[in-house]
Amino acid sequence: MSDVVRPVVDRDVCVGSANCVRLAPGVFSLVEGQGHADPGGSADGDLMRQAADECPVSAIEW
Amino acid sequence: MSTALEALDLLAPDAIADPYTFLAGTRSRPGLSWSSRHKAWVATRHADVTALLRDPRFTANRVGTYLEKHGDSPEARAAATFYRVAQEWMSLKEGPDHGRLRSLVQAAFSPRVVKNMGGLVVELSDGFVDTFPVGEPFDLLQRFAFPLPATVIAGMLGVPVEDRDQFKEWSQGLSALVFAASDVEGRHESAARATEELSAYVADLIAQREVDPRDDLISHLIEAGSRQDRLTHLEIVAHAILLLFAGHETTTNLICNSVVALLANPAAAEALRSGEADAGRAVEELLRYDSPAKTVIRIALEDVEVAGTQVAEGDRVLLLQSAANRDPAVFADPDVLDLTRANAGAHTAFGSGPHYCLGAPLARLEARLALPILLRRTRGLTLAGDLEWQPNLLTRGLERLEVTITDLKESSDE
Repeated sequence: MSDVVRPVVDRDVCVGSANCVRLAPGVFSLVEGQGHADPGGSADGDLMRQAADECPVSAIEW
Repeated sequence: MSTALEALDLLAPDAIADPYTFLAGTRSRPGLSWSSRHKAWVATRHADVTALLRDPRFTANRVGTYLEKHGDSPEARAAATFYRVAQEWMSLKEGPDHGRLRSLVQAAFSPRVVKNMGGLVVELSDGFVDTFPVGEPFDLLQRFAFPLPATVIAGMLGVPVEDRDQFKEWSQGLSALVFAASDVEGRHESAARATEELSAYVADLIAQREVDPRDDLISHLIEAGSRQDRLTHLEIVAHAILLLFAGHETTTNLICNSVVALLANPAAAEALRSGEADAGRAVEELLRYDSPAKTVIRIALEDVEVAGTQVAEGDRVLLLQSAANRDPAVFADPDVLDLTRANAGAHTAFGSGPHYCLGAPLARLEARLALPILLRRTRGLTLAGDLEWQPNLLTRGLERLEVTITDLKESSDE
């Protein structure tokens, strides 16, 4: 059984580089140029960790 | 109608020497302004520059657009080798191609990975400071601001550090075209020559890593190329060149520009030296105050209205980071260097949107660690020559930074 992770993009910090969108397009998207995380989150904790790690401005948290 | 800005010449000597004073009046003009000198629209306000950087109706592919229009010109033919490589660069690609290329390297430059390089940056910084002569002028660019980021990126890529001076020369050959030094004689030929030599050099390294892979970015690109990502040999060569070039050129300028700003503001320098000012926040303000990136070029993919101005498909827009970073609508007293400025991070030095500087975490780390070391270990750091700025459109960098110091402290003294 895996826990669902629900990442949040800090819109004040996000620069719209879309690194997270490329990694996990099912969870992250760009809304008006800003990163947005689906409130449903993801069961793939490793992928969410990677998205948070690879954000160039560390705008992804949960 | 735009009038005064029509003649706006961003390569004029006073614009090169001090873009901030030169551009001070431009932000109050409505909409975008047309520059007949540069045959481009000009965006100067922070809001417009930021919006345009993220606008998918514009492309970063200025090389492809240039070749479509001028591919048969003698200049384009003279620089054919350069353009063939540059056309592969992710910094000029859009959409899935851009994403595919950027995905391959973004992990290597992530804040978490980069943080582990702090020890190396400190060790290198101290080592270069150790070589400074006391009481006689020396070039801080050549002795510190260049070798630090160049050694770091060479190590990441797997380029032998002893070839550092050689790739500095090649980088200079490339920069006249990459940074749009429109008035430099023979720039197409020298860029082509540098690309040719650099390509051969990199191809040689690739051949070595193909038989003997290591834990470096060139090996990583080769490995990625053999998987589903399908990098061509030319793409690997082009990105090794791009990373080598972009990995040091702008950081060298960030360090030099920061030193110049700090020497002109002794109280700020003292706050950074003593640790009273947070180095991370200080670097954001230094990036805002005198960013190594002056201008970004975008080309409209369709007819677009921007800030009330009609921009036609194919039109070029110059996004002036140097004007946006001094926009009083965003930054109070924008011409004051204030290392405690709360919103300094809103600068546009690293761009914004999908092309946001891949190496930003690395550049931030290098500047954050190197500048305090330089200030703590030297005494009486003073300019020892005139400042000569590179005459190009896109980047703000010095030709050299002559300084003197009166004393040098051991790294263990701190």
